[in-house]
Amino acid sequence: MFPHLKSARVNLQLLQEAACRQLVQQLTLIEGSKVIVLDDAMIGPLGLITKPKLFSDRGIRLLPLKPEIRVPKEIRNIIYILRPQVSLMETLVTQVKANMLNGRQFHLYFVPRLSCLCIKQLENKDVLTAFGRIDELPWNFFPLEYDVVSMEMPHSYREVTIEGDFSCLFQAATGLVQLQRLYGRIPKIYGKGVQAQLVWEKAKQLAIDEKTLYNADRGAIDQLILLDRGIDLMSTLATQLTYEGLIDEFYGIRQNQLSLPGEHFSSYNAADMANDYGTGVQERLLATSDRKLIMLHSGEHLYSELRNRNFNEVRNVLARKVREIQLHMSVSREDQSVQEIKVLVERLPQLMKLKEATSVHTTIAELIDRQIKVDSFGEDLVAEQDYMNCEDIDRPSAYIDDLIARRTDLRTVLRLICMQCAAGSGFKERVLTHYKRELVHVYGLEVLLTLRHLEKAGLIRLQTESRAYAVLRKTLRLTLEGNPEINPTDISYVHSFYAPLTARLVEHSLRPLGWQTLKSQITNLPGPTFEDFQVQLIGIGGRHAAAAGSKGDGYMLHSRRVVLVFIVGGITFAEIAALRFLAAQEDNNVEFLIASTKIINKHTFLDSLMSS
Amino acid sequence: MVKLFILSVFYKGATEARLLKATADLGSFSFFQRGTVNEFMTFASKTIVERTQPALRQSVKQDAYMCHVYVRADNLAGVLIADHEYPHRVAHTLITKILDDFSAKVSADQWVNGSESTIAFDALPAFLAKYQNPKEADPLTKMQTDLDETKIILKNTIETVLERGEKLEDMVAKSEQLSLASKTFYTTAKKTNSCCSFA
Repeated sequence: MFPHLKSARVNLQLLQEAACRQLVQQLTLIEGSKVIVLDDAMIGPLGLITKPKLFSDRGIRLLPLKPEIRVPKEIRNIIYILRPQVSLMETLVTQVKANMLNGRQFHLYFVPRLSCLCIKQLENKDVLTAFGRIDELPWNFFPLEYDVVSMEMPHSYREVTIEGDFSCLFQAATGLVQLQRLYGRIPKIYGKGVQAQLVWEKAKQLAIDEKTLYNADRGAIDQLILLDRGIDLMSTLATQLTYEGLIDEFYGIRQNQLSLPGEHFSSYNAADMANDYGTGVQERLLATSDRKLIMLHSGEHLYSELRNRNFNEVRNVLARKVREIQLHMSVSREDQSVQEIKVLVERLPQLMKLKEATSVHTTIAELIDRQIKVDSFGEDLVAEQDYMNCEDIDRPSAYIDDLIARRTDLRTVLRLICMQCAAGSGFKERVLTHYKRELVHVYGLEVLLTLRHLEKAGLIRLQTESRAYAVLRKTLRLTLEGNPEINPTDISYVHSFYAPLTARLVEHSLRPLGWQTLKSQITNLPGPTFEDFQVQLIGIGGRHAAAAGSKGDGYMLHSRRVVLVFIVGGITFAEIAALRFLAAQEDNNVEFLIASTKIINKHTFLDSLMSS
Repeated sequence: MVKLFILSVFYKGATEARLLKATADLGSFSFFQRGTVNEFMTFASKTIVERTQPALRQSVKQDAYMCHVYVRADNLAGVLIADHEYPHRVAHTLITKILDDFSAKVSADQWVNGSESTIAFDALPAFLAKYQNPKEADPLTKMQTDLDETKIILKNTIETVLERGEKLEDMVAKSEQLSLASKTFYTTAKKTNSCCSFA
């Protein structure tokens, strides 16, 4: 169903199929005509698990969760698939009351876990009796790509740091255990950060009950690296400069899909556009006629070539592709033998697809180029780069003061303030007071609440003795001069000169000594550094089993290692691109499986923390 | 305008060539000229056969005409007089064909001493008429023309398909503009000024 998920060692199609099976199992338990209502947050993720064909084959319609929806009389069962949020229960109750009919049953499935709170709410509103089945669909990780899985929990960092709600960490642990159930036990674990350790402790606890895990052979994944988002906030705030990163920052990529106004694209025949994957769940529910929905995943060859490159390199690649197409198409105009024409005709569908893809991406690149040319983009970028280079960070920045005075969008101002804070590993007291005063003057007292949130989240704080960022910048070479954007030799190309700290940590762990060499500097980062092993339990076989186990682990050194990198709290496309760059380098001999609670960018991250 | 005039079968004897059978289509000449032209062409054919070695094909230009001759190893010869535009290959194919036909129908012993009246071979006029239009008569040429036509149709169809979607010129213009506009995101130049700022 999703061919782009297949890969060498860790086949994520298994994950998708397992999830799909769980859904089908539940559906078959319900008899009679059905309709499925989804909440907004679940529409995208459901599209990652199944195709609409699954539902149309069974005659099930999909509807979004809106209070005014009326379900036709013939439908006997209404199935809700929701995130366990109490706020959704309100809408649910209104809908249930409006659609109540004799002989009709309601069913509720929480993803990924039942919530007693929600059920209690339903009971309080007297609608609980109308529900037949209330169950959970334990989908923790959704496969986005053959090497990326996401929990699709956009607010996890906020929930943990600001609201003190650790349930998403519990879910992350459950997800890890599920992954190990599918792909085998993970023998070696490295981690850094408070949230990372919490997740790991919980996962160990949960796995104690899973005897099968410990007795199994070596699995597909060799190592797990767990990182807390809080150890590297700079990378989330910095502007991403890869193609995919820029698309996400300007337009937002939702579960591999991009929606853009249709007028930029040349008119096309709907029949021509039918790609191999057909329409998805998101298109059925969210598409409007004036917007074009573009699939962005490795199934399209051109996209996988462009997505991880620096945007300046993308310009050249696109120009080259267009020239290639021009060449192929002009060849057809010359005099040719029947054999040559036959070859051309065979290549024609491929050529047309390439042309269509190139056309779409040239348009997207043009749109991004327009955004980049805007003055404020360039100026903000210069300010960012100064902070990342630790330039002038101990004083209030004239640029930020200017922005505040001009009443620029609060989010932009706060982002730069947080970057300056991250660069200095905290503010001097007088600088912070200065900013607070200026912000209140211009934006009003409410801004103090927002600032309080950011302080809780660790984005704004006072300096302590250690200047972690400055030190790590030197030892880990976070900023690197002279790395070309085109054909780069180092991962710093993702921000043109800055390598994400998380990616550098992973890069170091690949070396023979791992993090040993960094031990002293790493402690500067907040949170514990930990290492763990999950050895194969020795059965009655005793020595032999142990010997077999270690011999099996020894093979790791020769074939490619598979490392699961899990950043708890969010990951950016730029970090994903950096990791893919590392995997592409032969010397590293590694394959990554990248996991996170959500793929974020500077906007979504700040919005999540700023909202009340 | 392709045209065939005379088709004849000769036997190349030791001293001279004997006309065994002939047919002519001289409708393009005026009535009074026909007799003379026929004589002249027969004489030319005879001469050319005498001057051609066995197992040899020739195409000789004679004023406004082209004489195609094929003398087989067994001294049976065929001559076709046509205009300049008639394709040589088709001409020789025709000659070979009638010679094969002739040697199948008329036994070899009749060749040495036969003449027009004694040889019973009536296929010549039919052949001449048929091959007036080389394209239709010769299956090979027919196929070639059909093929050429099909190729042109195919090319046009492919061009139409390629034109679908965005116009190539637009894409070229856009991508050229994109690649020219590139400017590095990180300029190292500004770092050299940092020494002048007061920390």
